[in-house]
Amino acid sequence: MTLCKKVYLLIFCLFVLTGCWDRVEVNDLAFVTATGIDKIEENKFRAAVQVPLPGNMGGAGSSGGGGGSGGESPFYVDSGVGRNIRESNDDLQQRMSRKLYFSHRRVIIFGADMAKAGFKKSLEVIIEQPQSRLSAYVLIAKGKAIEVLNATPHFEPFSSETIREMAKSSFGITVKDVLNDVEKPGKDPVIPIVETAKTQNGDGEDKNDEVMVNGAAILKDDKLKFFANDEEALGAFWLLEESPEKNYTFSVGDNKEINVSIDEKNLRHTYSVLGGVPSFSLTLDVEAAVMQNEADIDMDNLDSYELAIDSMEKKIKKEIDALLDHSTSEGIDVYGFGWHLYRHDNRQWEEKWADNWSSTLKKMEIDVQVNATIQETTNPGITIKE
Amino acid sequence: MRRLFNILKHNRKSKIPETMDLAISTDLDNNIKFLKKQFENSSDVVFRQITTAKNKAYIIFVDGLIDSARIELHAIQQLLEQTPADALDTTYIEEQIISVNSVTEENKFKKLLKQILDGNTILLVDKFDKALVLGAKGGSSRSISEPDTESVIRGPREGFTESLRVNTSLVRRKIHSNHLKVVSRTVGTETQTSLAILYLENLAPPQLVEEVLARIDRIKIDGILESGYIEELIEDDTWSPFPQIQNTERPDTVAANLLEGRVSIIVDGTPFVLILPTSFWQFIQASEDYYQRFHISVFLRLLRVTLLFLALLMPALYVAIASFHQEMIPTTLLLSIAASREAIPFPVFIEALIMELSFEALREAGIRLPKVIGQAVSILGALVIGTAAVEAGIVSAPMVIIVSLTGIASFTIPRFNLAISIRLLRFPMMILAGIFGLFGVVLGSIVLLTHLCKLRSFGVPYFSPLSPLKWSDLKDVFIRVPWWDMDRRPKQFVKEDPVREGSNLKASPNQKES
Repeated sequence: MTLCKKVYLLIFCLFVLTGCWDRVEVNDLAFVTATGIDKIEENKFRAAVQVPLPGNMGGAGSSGGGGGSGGESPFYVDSGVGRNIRESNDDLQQRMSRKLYFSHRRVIIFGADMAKAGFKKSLEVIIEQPQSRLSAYVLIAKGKAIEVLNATPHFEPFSSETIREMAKSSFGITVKDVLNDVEKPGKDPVIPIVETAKTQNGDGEDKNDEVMVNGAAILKDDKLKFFANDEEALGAFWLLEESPEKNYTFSVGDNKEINVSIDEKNLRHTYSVLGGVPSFSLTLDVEAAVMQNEADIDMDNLDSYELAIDSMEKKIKKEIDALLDHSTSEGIDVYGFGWHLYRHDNRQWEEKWADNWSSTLKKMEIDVQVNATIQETTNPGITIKE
Repeated sequence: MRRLFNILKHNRKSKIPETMDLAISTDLDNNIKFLKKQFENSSDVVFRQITTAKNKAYIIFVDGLIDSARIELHAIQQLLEQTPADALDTTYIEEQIISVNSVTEENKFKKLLKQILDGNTILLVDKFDKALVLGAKGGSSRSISEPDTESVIRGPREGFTESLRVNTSLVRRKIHSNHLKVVSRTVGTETQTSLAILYLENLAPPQLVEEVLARIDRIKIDGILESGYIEELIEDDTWSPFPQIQNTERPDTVAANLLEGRVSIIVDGTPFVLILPTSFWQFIQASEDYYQRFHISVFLRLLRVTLLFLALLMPALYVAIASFHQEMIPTTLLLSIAASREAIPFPVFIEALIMELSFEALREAGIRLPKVIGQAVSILGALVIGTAAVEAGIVSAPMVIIVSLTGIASFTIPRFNLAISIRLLRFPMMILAGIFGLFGVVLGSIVLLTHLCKLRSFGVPYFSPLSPLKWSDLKDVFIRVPWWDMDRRPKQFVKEDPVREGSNLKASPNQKES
């Protein structure tokens, strides 16, 4: 055997004998777009997945039957039961001809019962799985998570896509954020709530379950404590959301509302420690533009302008206070006061507050200051001459 | 393989029979007898007997190679007018009778034979042991026309023809300088093909010219029919898939390269002229880049580099990502790929192979067929590949897009010989991608890059000026700076006289005429 032949044989072996034949065709995979995890009973979980059905999506090749996309749902939901998430997935896999593939999972929903019992272990599974995206959004369903997955919203083909879009525009929080918040000392996660609602089209026939991402679930570590009411949810927006874009309505008198769009908001905090107890002062600067001036207030007039921004500031402060009061009374740190102390005053934190942060939080003074400005006035209002 | 080498070696050793190197005698009949024997069974060789003064004479030429009108008017007619009283000798005939502009004397048969075959006319007169060679070549050749393979929107419209003299004159017309040297060589024991090696004496490195001449001189072959023969016989690494010698049909391209100190070889009988040494980047440059405004040239060059990568790697990347790294594709795109692949029976790799091969087949068919049928083929191909194959569920629509984009990308490479190598290399890349995924693609790219960096064209690194890096030469690689800034010749070739133009050439109101 000549050297040449030996080299060829070696190269051939390299191609054939290497363990790299792990090629997987796209059509042998079931792309999970969303997972919903519910707790059935103690140590028994139901993991539901939403999987698109490419055959029903009207692709060029698949329309051999002629308009195959009509009527049939482009996705389906199935679930498995097990003692943990992996076992549930294995249970589910037994019913699936295609391999579950989690790389494209963008949404993870926990049912309310599951969230109340704590979901940290389930989230850690996601980190352990190399396929999973840490950038998947985490949401909490008011009822069962599987019900949200079954929703058939009108706009997007999959409810997961709808949820992802809506979570992104609300204060969407990802797996990474949640795990960070759970692990950080002195910070508790706040997670958007997702629920279904019927299409409100009066007597119209086309009623589907629409998906609604609205409100905030307040957690203590990884355990759900309460669902914020509307006012507290707005407080969560002011405190936690980075993107300022929002339309906001406040009242300046009886039946006189002004709609503004928030252009910018900036939250700062300072703290001081008095007698071993820290106190925080939050300052929120808000810039807004008037969208609708129903009250016909003359914005060029200083008095009426101040009346407008006064009512706005008061309303915002009330919302923030409502959230902070409710959460601190339960020993929950939504804003991350403790995390701030941990970073900036670590010695005192370790000595005094680390072990009893919940009780410290209850007696901590939090002063909230709101400075609002209205910079653009599309409708400057009329001045009524007396 | 080894046996083939042996055959070649053996052939090289075997003696090629040579014409006897006899001198011409004074006896005309003997001479004619000898020549007629040499040209036995050659009906196109004409022996025309005339009597001039009192001497018998013969005019010998190959019909079709000479300008017969001129020979009739300036040689035959003049000779026939001589009266027997005139005393004749070859000098007298040369100086007083024949009015053809080029007349030389020969006294050896070997050279005489070559002159006849080259298209010259021979005059043999009785009692003289010298032959007169009348240089009146003629015959039909293609007129100068725009080259089909390298058409431009702006630029000269003339292209080389099959005639060596026309071609050298086309270059001479561009460079009116006595520095332009045209060295002549004859290669091919049977074809006796003339070669002209062109270079600018003051710019081309002497070692380079020497090397080129040496490599040409060691060629021993029976025939050279196209410059491709010469290219493969003198290039540095014939096993490399990349062309190391550029060929062109455009005189302006040759002139521009000569001005950068390169050497060009014109081969008689083909319009394709060789330019050497070359670098990889020359193959993605078109002559028009230098004629259009530089903005568009910069844009087009960057576009070509991008498309070069696409032409080489796109099917491979698609195969790798779609069958190994599904997480890299955006979800919605992945779902539409999955949807269109739902009914496809083949793996992505096989699908890609089928499509690429049928595309190559179509392209080949389009080139070989007569132009009228070629159009029908392309319509058929577009139907088969574009629509029917997708609807029948044999290939998926994204694959069609990938293959056609790749095809278009490979068409943007200005030099056809590089485009061929890219087309070929696409297949090993695809195979690597099908086996190893992106890892394979990266591996293949590394091997390719290493090879490109190692390759040399007549001693000049093939990947220069990128590797080895020469910052100053980069102004004419991915971009082209405006002409007023192109002040130096490429350092790789020209060492002695690097300055191409004056400084401060940029027009501005502040510059005084000096």
